[in-house]
Amino acid sequence: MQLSDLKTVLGQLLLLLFSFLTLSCVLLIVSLLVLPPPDRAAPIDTFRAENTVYTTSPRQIYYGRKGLRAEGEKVILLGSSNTQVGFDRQLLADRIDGVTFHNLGIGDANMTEIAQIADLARASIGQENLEGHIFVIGIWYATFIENANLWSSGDAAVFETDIDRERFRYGFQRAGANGPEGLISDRDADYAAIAVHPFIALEKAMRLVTADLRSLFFVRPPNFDTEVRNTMVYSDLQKSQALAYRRRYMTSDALTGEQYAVLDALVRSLTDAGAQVIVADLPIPIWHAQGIPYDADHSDRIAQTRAGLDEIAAFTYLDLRQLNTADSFYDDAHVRPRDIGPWIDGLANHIQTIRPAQNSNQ
Amino acid sequence: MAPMPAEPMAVRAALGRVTVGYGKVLILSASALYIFDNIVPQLFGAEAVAGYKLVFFYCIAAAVYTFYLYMNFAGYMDIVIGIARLAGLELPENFNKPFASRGMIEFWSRWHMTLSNWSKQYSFIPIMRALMTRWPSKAAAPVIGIFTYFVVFMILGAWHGSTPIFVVYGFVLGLGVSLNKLWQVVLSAKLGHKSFRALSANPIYTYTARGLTIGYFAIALTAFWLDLGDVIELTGRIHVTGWILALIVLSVGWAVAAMGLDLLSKLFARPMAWDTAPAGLAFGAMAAILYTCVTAQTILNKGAGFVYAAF
Repeated sequence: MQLSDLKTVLGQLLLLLFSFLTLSCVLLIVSLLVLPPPDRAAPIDTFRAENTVYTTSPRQIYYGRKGLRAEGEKVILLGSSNTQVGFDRQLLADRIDGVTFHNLGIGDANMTEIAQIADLARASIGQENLEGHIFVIGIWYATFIENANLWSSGDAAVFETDIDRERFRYGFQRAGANGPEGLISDRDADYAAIAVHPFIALEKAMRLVTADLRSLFFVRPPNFDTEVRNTMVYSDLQKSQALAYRRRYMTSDALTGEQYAVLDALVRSLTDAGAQVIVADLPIPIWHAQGIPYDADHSDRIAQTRAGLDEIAAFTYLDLRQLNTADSFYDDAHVRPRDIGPWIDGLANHIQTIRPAQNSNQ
Repeated sequence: MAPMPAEPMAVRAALGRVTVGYGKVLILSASALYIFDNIVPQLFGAEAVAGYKLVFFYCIAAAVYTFYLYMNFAGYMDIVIGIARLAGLELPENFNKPFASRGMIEFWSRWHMTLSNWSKQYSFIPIMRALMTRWPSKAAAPVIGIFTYFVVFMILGAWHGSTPIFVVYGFVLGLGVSLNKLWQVVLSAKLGHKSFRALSANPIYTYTARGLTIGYFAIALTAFWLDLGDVIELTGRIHVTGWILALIVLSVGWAVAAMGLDLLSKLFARPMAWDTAPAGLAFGAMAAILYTCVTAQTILNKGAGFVYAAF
């Protein structure tokens, strides 16, 4: 190939690059105007992530964390889907003044992923000293599923959580030998997300456009509205199917200490930084607890973990497992909206007792 | 092979070819794979559908896989051929509108043409020549032709893999081309060459033949995504009637789609010639394709490897 040929090829490639960059700028402006990201003051509520441009909880947590940068006392709710549903951010915010609630729950999270989310929250808060902030960690037996059983790699050491997937999706970070590494830090990811906002917005648009088609042919978890969640009742067949599903999901017959050690380390890390930590042990229906071996196993292991943590003044344990009436759940783990009151009361009252400044309107 | 000098319009056309290749691989093939990956789990296991719905879902999976395989393979070929042209080299084409084929023999002259030509050169012609030398009767020629087609495509199919399912794949391919040859021989003898040619030009015959060809090929490709045990299990659940129904659904589906596409292309489509289109339009279209590639990949969040690397 002659030098003149190379110049011709490079010239055409530059024209293509220029066209691509121009199109990218146009789409960036359009996407910010049509589907803007939430403003900095907006609290995060992953239970309602579907209503945001991010659509899913992991994406909202990773790209839409600007709300955590705002000044002021915060209560950060961590856990899996029953935390999202049971600790409704809006209801809690209505109960306690002077504090901003952020629900960072994420479906099917185990303690490893919850710890990742706590780290992201800390990165956004941006203070070494977490005094005045409260972290609530909602737990039940399924939050202690081992990494090798939960993540698709099947490897306890090398795996990719939903949060990792978001870290890597646009190349902000990549998997390294000692965890994620890359150009953009966890703290800056929410601002860097502006650059990829057209992709996020286009995905949202695609999901909206194809929702009916996907629900026709693909198997997806059902999306119940409030009325259905208040009235639906599991049949005996559905109960046995749910128990069989949980056994398949947990893979092994017993819990190990792996994820309890992660909880222990997380509580110590947060309290060392000055935060208050509440570990809220969440209820499941009686038939569910009695139908599988894990709940009793969990009771024993959490007691051991608590024994090691009780010496920490900023740590408290909130046992809500007495709220396990079968009728107050619409499925095998999630509380009905009409029965959410005792969950909110239990947590709100507990927060009032540990808050340094009492600003309750109750 | 001496490289050709680079002309700006030829370079633009080559870039267009590469861009279209990326579009095929990263948008169309990857989207098809996403649909396929969501349909197949519903054929087996705890969430399996049953009855007519099972046949219908199998048909969707088979059709989507065929589309995925073509877009992936043809897309990578576009990229390779386009990059070669940027370097001033001209590589042979590997596809020539295979979905327009009206029979399995024609299909193999349009699909994976480099392999088909190699196979013709190094197995079909030598085997045919040897058999014709051994039995030099004119009457035996059609039978030898049918037999040779069967043997060659049996080998071609089995070449794709080392598991028993690829023997089945080879058998199905061999059966397809030899039945196609038998049909040609019988119909030509019965109707005469002129009438047979007239029949072949009939639109109803043409679309029926196109539908059957692609429907049959889509079913044959099942060997690429199910193992023999799965095929036996599926047969136990849908029976032979289910397979026949699947062939009808896929054939009618493709025949109708082909009619629609032909009509649309007559009414609206103007082929995009990268080298003659205005620069703004050409580079704008390329940029839009590449942007959609990035978007599709970030949404689907999975790589788009070369499917034929597995065979």
